[in-house]
Amino acid sequence: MDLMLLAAEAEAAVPKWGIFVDVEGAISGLLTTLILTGLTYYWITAARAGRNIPSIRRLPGLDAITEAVGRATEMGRPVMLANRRDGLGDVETFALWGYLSHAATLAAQYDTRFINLTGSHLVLAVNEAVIQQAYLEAGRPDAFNQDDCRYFPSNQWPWSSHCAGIIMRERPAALLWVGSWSGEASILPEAGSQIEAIQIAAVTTTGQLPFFIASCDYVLMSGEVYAASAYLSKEPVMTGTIVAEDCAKLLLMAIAVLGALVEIARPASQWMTNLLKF
Amino acid sequence: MNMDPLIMLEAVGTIAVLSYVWKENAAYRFFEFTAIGLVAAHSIVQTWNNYLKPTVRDRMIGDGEWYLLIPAAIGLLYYTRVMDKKFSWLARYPISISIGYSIGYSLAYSPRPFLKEFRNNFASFGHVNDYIFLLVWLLVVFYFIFTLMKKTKKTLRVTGAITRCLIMIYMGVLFGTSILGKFSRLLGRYQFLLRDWLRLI
Amino acid sequence: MLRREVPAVLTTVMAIFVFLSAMLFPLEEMKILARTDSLLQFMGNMALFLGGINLFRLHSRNIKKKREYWPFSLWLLAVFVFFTVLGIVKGNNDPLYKGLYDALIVPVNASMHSISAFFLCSAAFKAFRIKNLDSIVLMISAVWVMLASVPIGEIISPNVGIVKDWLLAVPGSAVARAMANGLFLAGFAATLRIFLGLERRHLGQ
Repeated sequence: MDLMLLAAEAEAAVPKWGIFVDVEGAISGLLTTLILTGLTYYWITAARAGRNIPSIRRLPGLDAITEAVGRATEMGRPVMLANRRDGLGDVETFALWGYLSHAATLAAQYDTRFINLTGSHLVLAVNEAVIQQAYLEAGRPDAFNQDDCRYFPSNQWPWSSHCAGIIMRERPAALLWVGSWSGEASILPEAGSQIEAIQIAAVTTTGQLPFFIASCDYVLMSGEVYAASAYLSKEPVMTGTIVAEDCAKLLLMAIAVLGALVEIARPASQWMTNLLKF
Repeated sequence: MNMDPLIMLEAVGTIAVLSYVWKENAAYRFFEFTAIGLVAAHSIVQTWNNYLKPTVRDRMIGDGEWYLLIPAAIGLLYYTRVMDKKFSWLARYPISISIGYSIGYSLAYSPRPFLKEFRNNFASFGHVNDYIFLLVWLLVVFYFIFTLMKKTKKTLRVTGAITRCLIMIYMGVLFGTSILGKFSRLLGRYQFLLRDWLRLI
Repeated sequence: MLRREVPAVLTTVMAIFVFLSAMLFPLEEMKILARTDSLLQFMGNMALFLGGINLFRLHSRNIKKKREYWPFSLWLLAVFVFFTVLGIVKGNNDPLYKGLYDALIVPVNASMHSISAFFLCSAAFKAFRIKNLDSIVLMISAVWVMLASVPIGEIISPNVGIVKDWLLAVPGSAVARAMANGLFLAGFAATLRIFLGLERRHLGQ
């Protein structure tokens, strides 16, 4: 029995195509990475060569950031951007820096106080630099206030209680919720709506989206959250990466339809499924 | 009434935190600031006792893994963010390494679970629900296409409203499911106050 | 060059190293990645006082400048220092440390979680009064689900529960999966933007 198990293990350890890890989806996963990288590279090169690339549709939530910062300026109240649980290497954090930079630049230009709350001390190190850079680019480096870049540990309910307290005490006129959220989503946006702040959410956690939809003025969801950085930069190269992403979506739709047609024509053949498992 | 000091403290804390529903007030603030001081200390204590101390004592000094001094030195560069502005750029080194690590990890591993989920769209086909499923899936994927081409514009105009409705119906289902769970939490707190503390029930 | 280019190159080199380790060398895969992971964790943990420094700096300035609510900042720092010293000296299994921690954290955790019931009601009430179609559709569907989950739903019609289950299992799952698939593609594009050096906000650019 032991020998059989050893033999099975030895067999399982044979690399796919001689060099790749023998796990489900290793080759198809690699191909996915290569196709997506290839598409992105193609559209970036096209943009750099000055070829015409399609434009991106408006994302109303992003346009509303300018309106919200403007309103905060009129009311003499701060702008606040919060993110609790995303860590330094999380993809949500990459998106967060796009929003942070944009909102902080606007706040600096409008001479409005900007507060940032985070639950990670490592993310804080970058956030401070991003905000400082935004103030520098807006020509107002002296207006940067380190005390408004705030960290408190990301433990769900203590973080939320402090955030809810800050909302009531500081009364920001514009509130931005960015990244992934959990149960606190049923409290914080509603606290924001009680002080009549304009609220914009860019949320990646589908399960928490309904609470943001019920309380916020604008909600960016699913892929919209990440498209923001490219949208905000308005640079053709960055737009190219979104076009590449959309090409991948169309490809995905075609594969899904093809997979379904194969299943209808030859039930239980699992042809496409097995291909994607390889 | 239960006079155990820890139960009393928990009961007072519960009432103070619940009072936020009425208004932000000093009692709420007291527990809010206490909790932050506490968890901030706890995160340092935990990292120190459960990770740093054993790594230095057992691995570095005990097993002679002195190469750990290299990541330790790079990690210390994080503190340049709070030191003189002249040196704050040094913090970019540990940040870059961490981000590079996560990117490599995500480029290699994230397509696998994605493909697993994606292929379930057509793993079995035949029931009318499978057709509905695929149709809704196609509509929603298409809804999140951002590139403006003539064809996408036209199609989105027709399908956009329907898709948005479908998304909202699903959001409503999630909202309805979780609201009941939240009420049972609230009842749990009332139960603590009335039964465990005041012993009324 | 040392300020921008080298860190940028480090990001890419590290990404390629991890990517190749994960894709190739099947037998070594876990060993290489586990060791890298442990080194990086150690590196990250060296920054354990960074958050504390930020907290200390903000609240000591609140006290110094006598900003509004400064006595609470003083209290926060007292709790922070007391528990840090107690935890490091006596360890986190000390009965006083554990007892006080639980007695103070449990009410905050449990009560904050439970007040969300009030907030959800207020959100739901507002959503019904709001003019936009999104909130109305969302709330009708939410009420349907709530009806289906309580006995009155069954009294109205047994179909209430059947429809709810179907909504969740068929169109609901399809929406969830499509959104997750879209999220993956968009997240992947965001990762590639950093990998290819198009976005360098983490380097202050």
